[in-house]
Amino acid sequence: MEDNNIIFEPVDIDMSSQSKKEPVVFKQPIPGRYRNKYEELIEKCAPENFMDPYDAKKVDVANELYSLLLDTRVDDHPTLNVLRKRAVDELGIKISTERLYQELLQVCNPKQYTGDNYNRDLLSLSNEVYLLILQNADDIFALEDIWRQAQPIYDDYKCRQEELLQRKQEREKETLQRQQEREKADNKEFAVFIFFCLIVLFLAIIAAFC
Amino acid sequence: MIENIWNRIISWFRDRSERRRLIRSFNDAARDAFVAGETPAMLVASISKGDSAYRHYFSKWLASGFRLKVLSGRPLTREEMIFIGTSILNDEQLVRRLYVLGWDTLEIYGENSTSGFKWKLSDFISQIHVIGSQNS
Repeated sequence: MEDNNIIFEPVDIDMSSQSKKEPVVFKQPIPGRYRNKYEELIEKCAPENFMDPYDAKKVDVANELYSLLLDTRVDDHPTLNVLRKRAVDELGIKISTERLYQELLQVCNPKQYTGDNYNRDLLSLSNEVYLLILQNADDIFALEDIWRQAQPIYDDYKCRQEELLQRKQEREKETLQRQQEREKADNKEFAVFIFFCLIVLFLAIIAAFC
Repeated sequence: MIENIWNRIISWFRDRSERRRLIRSFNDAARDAFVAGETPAMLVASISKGDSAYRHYFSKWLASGFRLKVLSGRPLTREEMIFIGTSILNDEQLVRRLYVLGWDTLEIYGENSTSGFKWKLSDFISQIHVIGSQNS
C-alpha cells in the first residue's frame, strides 16, 4: 500500500451519472522537440510525406510550401507563421506543442501564488490561464495566444527565478567562506599541536642528555 | 468444524491470490492499452485500506480499497478524474468482480497529487441489480 497522505473526496452516484452525460475529452500535447519553427516545418512539409498513401493535391501544396521554406530565413518569423498556418490548414499537419505546453504549465502554475507568495490578481489570472492550457494542449495557435495573455505571469516568474538564483549564489558563497574559515582554524590547531609535540620532544632529549 | 476452519483458510488464500491476479491483469491491460495508444493515460492499480464506511458483507479488513493512480504527465482536473472513475464503474463485470473479491471502495488520484475521489462500490452493485430486474 502506498501514498497514504492522499485525501479522497466521496463521489455519489448522481455526480457520476451527470459526468456520463458530459464526457470529458483528454487533450494531450502533440509530441516533438525541434530546435525552431523552421526545422519542424521543413521536416513536416516535405513532399515525400504525402506520397504514401499518395495524395496528389497535398504533394502539390507541399511542393509549393517546401520551396517557399527553402527561400525563407530561419529567423523570419512573420513569413514562417504564414507558411505554418497554410501547412496546418492545407496539409493537415500537426505542429508540436510539447515544449510550449510544458513551459506554460511550469510558468503559469497557480500554486506558486499561494502561501507566502500570495497574490490575488496573479492567482486569478494564472487560474484562468492554467485551465485554458489544459483544454488546448494540442493547439499551437491557442497556446501561443495564451502565452501572450500570460505575459504578466511570465514577467513575475522571471523576476522570482532571478531572485532565487541570486539567493542560491549568495548561499553558496557563504558556505564556501565558512568552509575556508573552518579549514584555516583546523590548520592553526594542527600547527599548535605539532609545536607542543616538538617542545616536549626537545625537553625529553635535554633531560636524556642531562 | 475442523473441516470448516480448513475450508475457510483455503478460501482466504484463494481470495488473496485471486485479488493479486486481478490487480496484475488490470495493470497489464492498462499498460498495453497505453502503449497501443488506445488510452491517453496509464492507470496503475493497487490495494489500499479503503473506507470503513463503505463496508459490505464481502469487504476485506484493511484491504478493501481499489486504488488507481493515473499517470498522464500532467495534473488532472476534477472532471477528468470523475470521468475516469465513471468509466471504470461502467464495466459491470469488473465492478461485480471487485465486489465479490472484497473491495468496497474505488479510489482515483493523479500522479504528484494530494487529493482524489472515491466511490462506494456497493452503490453500483445495487444499481446494476435494479437495472437487471427492470429489464426482466
